[in-house]
Amino acid sequence: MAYIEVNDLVKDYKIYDKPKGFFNVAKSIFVRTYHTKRAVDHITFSIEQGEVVGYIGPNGAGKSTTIKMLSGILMPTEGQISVNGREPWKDRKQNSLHMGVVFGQRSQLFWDLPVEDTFDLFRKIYKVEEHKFKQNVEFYVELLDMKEFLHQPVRQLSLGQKMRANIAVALLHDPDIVYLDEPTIGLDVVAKNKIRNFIRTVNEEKHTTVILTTHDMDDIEIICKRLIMIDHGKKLYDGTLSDFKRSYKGESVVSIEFESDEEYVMPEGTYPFSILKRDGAKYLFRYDRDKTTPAEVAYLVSKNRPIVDMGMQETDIEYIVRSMYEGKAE
Amino acid sequence: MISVWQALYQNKEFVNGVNLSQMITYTLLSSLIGSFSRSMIAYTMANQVRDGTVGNELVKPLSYKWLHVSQEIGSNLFFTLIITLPVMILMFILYGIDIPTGPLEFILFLVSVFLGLIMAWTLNFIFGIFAFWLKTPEYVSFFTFACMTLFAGSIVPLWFYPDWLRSIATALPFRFVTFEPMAIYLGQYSLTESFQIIFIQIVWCIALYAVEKLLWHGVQRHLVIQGG
Repeated sequence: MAYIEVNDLVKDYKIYDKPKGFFNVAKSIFVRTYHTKRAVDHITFSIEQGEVVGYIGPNGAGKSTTIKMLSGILMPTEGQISVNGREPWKDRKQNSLHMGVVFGQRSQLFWDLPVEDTFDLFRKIYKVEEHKFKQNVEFYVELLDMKEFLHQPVRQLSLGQKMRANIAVALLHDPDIVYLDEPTIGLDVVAKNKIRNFIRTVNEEKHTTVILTTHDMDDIEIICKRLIMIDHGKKLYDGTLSDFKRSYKGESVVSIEFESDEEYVMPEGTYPFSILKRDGAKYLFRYDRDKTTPAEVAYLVSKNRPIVDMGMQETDIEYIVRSMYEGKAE
Repeated sequence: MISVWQALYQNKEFVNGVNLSQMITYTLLSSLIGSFSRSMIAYTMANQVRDGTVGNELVKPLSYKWLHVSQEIGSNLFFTLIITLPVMILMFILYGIDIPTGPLEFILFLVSVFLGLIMAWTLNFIFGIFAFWLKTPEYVSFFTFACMTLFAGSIVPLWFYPDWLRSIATALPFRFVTFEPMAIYLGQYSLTESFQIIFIQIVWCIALYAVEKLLWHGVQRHLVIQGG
């Protein structure tokens, strides 16, 4: 049996209708009407120990809800979850002893305590052995470059420092699995990279299972081998990252800036690209990903006119994901 | 508060079978118990539910109730030692406190206070659970505070309540937190009666524990963690 087995998982939220007008508000004290919103809609997947899975989807797709159910703080409406043979919701305390969680938007740290003391507190909460604790703290402080702010109270830390400390705290007790809910949200490139490398290293050295939700496709590209994509509570894709890229064929966009802002006219003949938009000397070209590459587009265009700049609108995976999100929403 | 009682007692030695020095003792000791059973649990819980930080606590391998109760004990102990106790000592020097009738009464008092505190924390936690449904901190904590003050008799002992209010207070568990332990201390009960009070406290403890478990179970089913 896989480490995590999720079977036909459903979560409904009750949303109470907010009445308008005094009379209706008074009435709502006694009779409240509500509608149900299905946040997670019959999702099934299984994850093996040691896997790193990117769990993606647009805002409100049901990612966090799934994570909350896996971590045992929400009860599923229907379906089964088993994490290492345990039902997280029923066995909340046991389950939480073996997992680590980072909610990117919510800090686990104590506002007035120095990071060091928070570590100590978590050592006691998770009953981590002294020896193992010391080893882990050393390892994480080194990897995440936390030495300089270890003695500072959390309230004085930057967002990136806090996030690093949060991730270290979640891994202090060597959990089998760690849920990272948007761990790179709001961070700069350097901080993001530190965290990505750290997650990879921990996964390789400790064989920790990682489930990661994010909106940053670089996170996925660098850290994850497997991808699960959901939208409107339904699973859209589940498989390896490379299959995901390969399976999707379509168009992409490249931007090219010419030296002068005269109008660019497409030369005679058929080309695997076309003009999408013009903004002064800057043009957006649409091209077919199967037939050509952005480099070739730039080459063909630059034969007629000198260009000063070109750029990819987004990485491949970002483009795929965006067109899938948008396609689904229509 | 003491001055109020002094003014009220000016022309009388006993009111409803209680004299002035007993009233002073009551006021002083009940504020000591009060500073220890003081609780922000309901407020904290309601706030955590409102902004969703409750999720942060629930992902830890801890009992949610004991997490809050121990935080409370910590801050109350601090408050009691730093603020209430020095004031107590000053008041003791100024006004004097009645000494309990005998050592057995004193032990019974301590037992009763201890049970009362357990009840107080459980009650507070139960009120806090309602916050999971109401999702608003103000009313829950206001209601808790009102119940604790009015029905526990922490400011005015139940002896002075009008009959109808007294019978309501008697039916509710709050009086066992402050009023009944104090009544034992002041020798208002015979030994048998004191034992009866302690027995009732134990029954209440068990009953409240059952209610708490039941509600907590219900909450887990309906729990919604807000935000993000």
